[in-house]
Amino acid sequence: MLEMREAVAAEKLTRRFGEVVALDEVSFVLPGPQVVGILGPNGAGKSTLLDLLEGLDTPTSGTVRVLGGPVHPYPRSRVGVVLQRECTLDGVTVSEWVELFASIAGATATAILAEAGLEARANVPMQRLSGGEAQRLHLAVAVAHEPELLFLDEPTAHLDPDDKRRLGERVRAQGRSRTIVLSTHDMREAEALCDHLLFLDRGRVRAAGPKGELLAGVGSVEDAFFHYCAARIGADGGRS
Amino acid sequence: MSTFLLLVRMRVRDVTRKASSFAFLFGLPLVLLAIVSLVFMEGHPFERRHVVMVGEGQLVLPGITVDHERSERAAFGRLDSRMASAVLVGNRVIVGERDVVFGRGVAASLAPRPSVETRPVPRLGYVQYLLPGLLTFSVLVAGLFGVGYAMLRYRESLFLKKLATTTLRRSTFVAAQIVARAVLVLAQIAVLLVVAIPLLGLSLPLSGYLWLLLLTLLGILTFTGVGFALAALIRQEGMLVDVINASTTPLVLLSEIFFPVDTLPGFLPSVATALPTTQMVRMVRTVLLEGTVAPSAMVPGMAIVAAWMTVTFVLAVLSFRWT
Repeated sequence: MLEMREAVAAEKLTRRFGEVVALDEVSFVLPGPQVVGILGPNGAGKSTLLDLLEGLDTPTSGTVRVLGGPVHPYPRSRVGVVLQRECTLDGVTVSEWVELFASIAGATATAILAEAGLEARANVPMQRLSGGEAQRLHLAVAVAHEPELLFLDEPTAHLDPDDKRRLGERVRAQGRSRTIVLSTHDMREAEALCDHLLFLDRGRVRAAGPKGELLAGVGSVEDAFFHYCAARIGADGGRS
Repeated sequence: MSTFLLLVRMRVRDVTRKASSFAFLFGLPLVLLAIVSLVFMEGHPFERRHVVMVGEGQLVLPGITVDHERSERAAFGRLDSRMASAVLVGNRVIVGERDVVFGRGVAASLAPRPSVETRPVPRLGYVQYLLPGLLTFSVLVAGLFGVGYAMLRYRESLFLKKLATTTLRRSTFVAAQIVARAVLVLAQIAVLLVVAIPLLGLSLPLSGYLWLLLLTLLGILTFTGVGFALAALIRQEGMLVDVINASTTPLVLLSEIFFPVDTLPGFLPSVATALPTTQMVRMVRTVLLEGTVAPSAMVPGMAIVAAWMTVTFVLAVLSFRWT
């Protein structure tokens, strides 16, 4: 069993967009390797938080630590990312896309195609891939350089149940050797995939910890989410 | 294949795989050439009574502008491109077949009276004058639209954001975009020259082609820098297109593409001379109309374009962001 270490940490992390406070003094420590789920409804601040953790945005205040170190310079070679809305360039084929990212990652295109199970679809334009095929491709590209930390922003949001199940299996497999931080608003998916949970609502962390601890005496992830969110909202009088 | 070459290939294919982009790239300059050839086949639309004197010397002709050129070849280039109506070399006045009366008038004003000789002038002579402008315009559009708009599209499609999550260096990406654009523009200009040189009756030695290559690359570096900077500063597609249109139109009018800027009023000739497009047009015109070029004659123009290139490139590098 791999030793658990700090994978991602945030301290008083705040991100404002004008008057809108997307994240409000968020603090947490996420250990790894394991699968960590950031749960929250649409607009909770999940993507904003991931952008900051991925080094794609700058916080208004507060600090982020990734893999035990600062984010300047960002440890890109140790981190993989699948964006919420992944890029698709018109006409670019799967093999062209894979060749480019294999070259950047120092991997081989055939290995990435095999990992994605898309060898037979190599010459197809990317926009003609199904949702499940596209997500398999993006996941395979993101882990091509064997990152220690992998961010997945709502990876199954637009997949049918069968693709969702298959991608979930891949995520579980990837999570055995690295830390995966995935955001989702799908409580059942989080229950099936995650070892550690962080409940985010209206820009604030309502609860965070090992899944077993958070669910103790509550039941399902869905029950736990509403339990903790309702409790915190009640405690601060609904101000947050 | 290296990441750099894969990025270049991706950008080139991005243009060549779409029929509309391909047609725009290679067809537009030829369409413009066809239009200006038709419109100006009988000459330029305004009267220019210029006499070019080869070598030094004082000459005053009432109502006529007298210019000087250092060589007969340069002077005949002006005559062929209809930017002058007569050339004075020693005791000879040389005119095109349509300007014999004008030539006799000039000769009659001089003492001792020179002889008047005629010289066949290309029918599409004024189009010779316009061709350097078309070439420069292609390079300008490649930089502003070809890079500026492409970067905006890459940003909107999240391609840049995706690349930001990788170890790819900004310098590799920027260099690949410039090289890809250079490949496309050089192919575009090659097609234009293949059609234009025989059509306009031009002849160009190998050194002329090398000069055109050098000037095109210099122009690409200058204008792609502007394209990168605009895409970084303007995040909305509509506004970017408006800004590019708004900048291109005055540049076309002020860059000696259609007429010499020394005829412009007030401070405009100074402004026009400082523009990189004007210098590009002048240098390309020198190469196309004179054929052989003394490097020393190109130094002032090259210095101005190089200064612009430095400024726009620093601006581009400082302003470029993945996200």
